[in-house]
Amino acid sequence: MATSFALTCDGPSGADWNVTVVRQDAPADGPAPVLESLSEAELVAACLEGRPGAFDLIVQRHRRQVYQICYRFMNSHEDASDLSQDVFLRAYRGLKNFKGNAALGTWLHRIAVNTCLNRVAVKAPKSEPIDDADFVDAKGESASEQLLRDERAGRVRAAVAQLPPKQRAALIMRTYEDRSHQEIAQALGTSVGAAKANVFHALQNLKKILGNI
Amino acid sequence: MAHLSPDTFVDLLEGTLEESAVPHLAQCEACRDELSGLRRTWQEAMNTDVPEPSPLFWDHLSARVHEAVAAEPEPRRPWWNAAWAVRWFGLAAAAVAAIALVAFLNRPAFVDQRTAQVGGEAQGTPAASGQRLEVLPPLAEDESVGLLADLASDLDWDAVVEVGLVRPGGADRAVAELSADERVELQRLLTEAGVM
Ligand SMILES: [Zn+2]
Repeated sequence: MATSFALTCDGPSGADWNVTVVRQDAPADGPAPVLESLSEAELVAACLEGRPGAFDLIVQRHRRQVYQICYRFMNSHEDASDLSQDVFLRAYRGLKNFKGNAALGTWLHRIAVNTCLNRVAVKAPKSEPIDDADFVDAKGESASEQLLRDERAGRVRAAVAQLPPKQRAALIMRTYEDRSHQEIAQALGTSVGAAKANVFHALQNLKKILGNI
Repeated sequence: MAHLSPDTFVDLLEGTLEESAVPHLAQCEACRDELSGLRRTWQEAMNTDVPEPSPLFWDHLSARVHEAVAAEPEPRRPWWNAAWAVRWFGLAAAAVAAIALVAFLNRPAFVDQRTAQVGGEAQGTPAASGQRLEVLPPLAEDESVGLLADLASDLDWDAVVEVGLVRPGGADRAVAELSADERVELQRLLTEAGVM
């Protein structure tokens, strides 16, 4: 319950003054909320406060999205796996700079795109065999249907991974991440017009690589 | 004849521009073919999933990230943005204001002329020459204020003014100029200093 003190005094100079000091009980600190119940901003704050498990939860929530971006860039599970780790490490290092203006997923997405662009600047992606044993199929198709489908999908993924880096980034962001041209422009450091042009040229090149379909 | 621009093609593909709004399409077979080819290609790309890794992969990735992160120094907000810095600067400001206030309260000229209200109910206190803070019963009984008064009892009021902590007759302003957070800190300081 709050208690109020009000002091009213006249100073020697004649200046009237009033000071009010409100005393109230400090709120008792309850147990820390469960990490899973925290919002993204609260989760970031928990990381910065050094709360164990907070960053692990961020990784758990966003690892699939980050991996898929990396995979589309590189068309390789091994590279995507390494890059995903790099993305999260860079995110951890930069967490104190996360302003919370964008969603955490959007921020991580941009880190992923930049990490991939940096990687492809120094290393050409390698194509992955279609029947990689590390993958599982969950669609319940017949073996021949699955083979045809996988073969076609493998060709498309390989074609995407052959595109020039900025076209690749623009196409991936627009097609698979549903990012606006504005967001693509920001991520690539270009104008909106240039971002749209990158999407167009990516599709044009993809069409050429894949031939008539 | 100028063909459609990349910008127009993208708008048509995304449906933000109706084909009927682009008369050139009706006249140019090349642009129509280009548009339909791009549309099929994009549809094909959209339908292409990333292969699903082994279910064990996700935990493996998390473990790898966890290990890599464990080797890193903990991320911290810049010190000027850190919660502890804000708290301690606020506390320091509140402490200065509290000491200045108590020093002001201890001023003989002030003590002689004060009146006090407690709990919002005015209580007239007879002025008596030479009385100190403790003759103000409700406030003097407050151990938190008493402790601060003791701390500040050796403080020379003129020195407080001289170093610019407060202006003569301006202790009220020193408190009034505190931000809401600083005032809360002042309250907390006064509370915590006593046996609460
Ligand atoms: Zn045309």
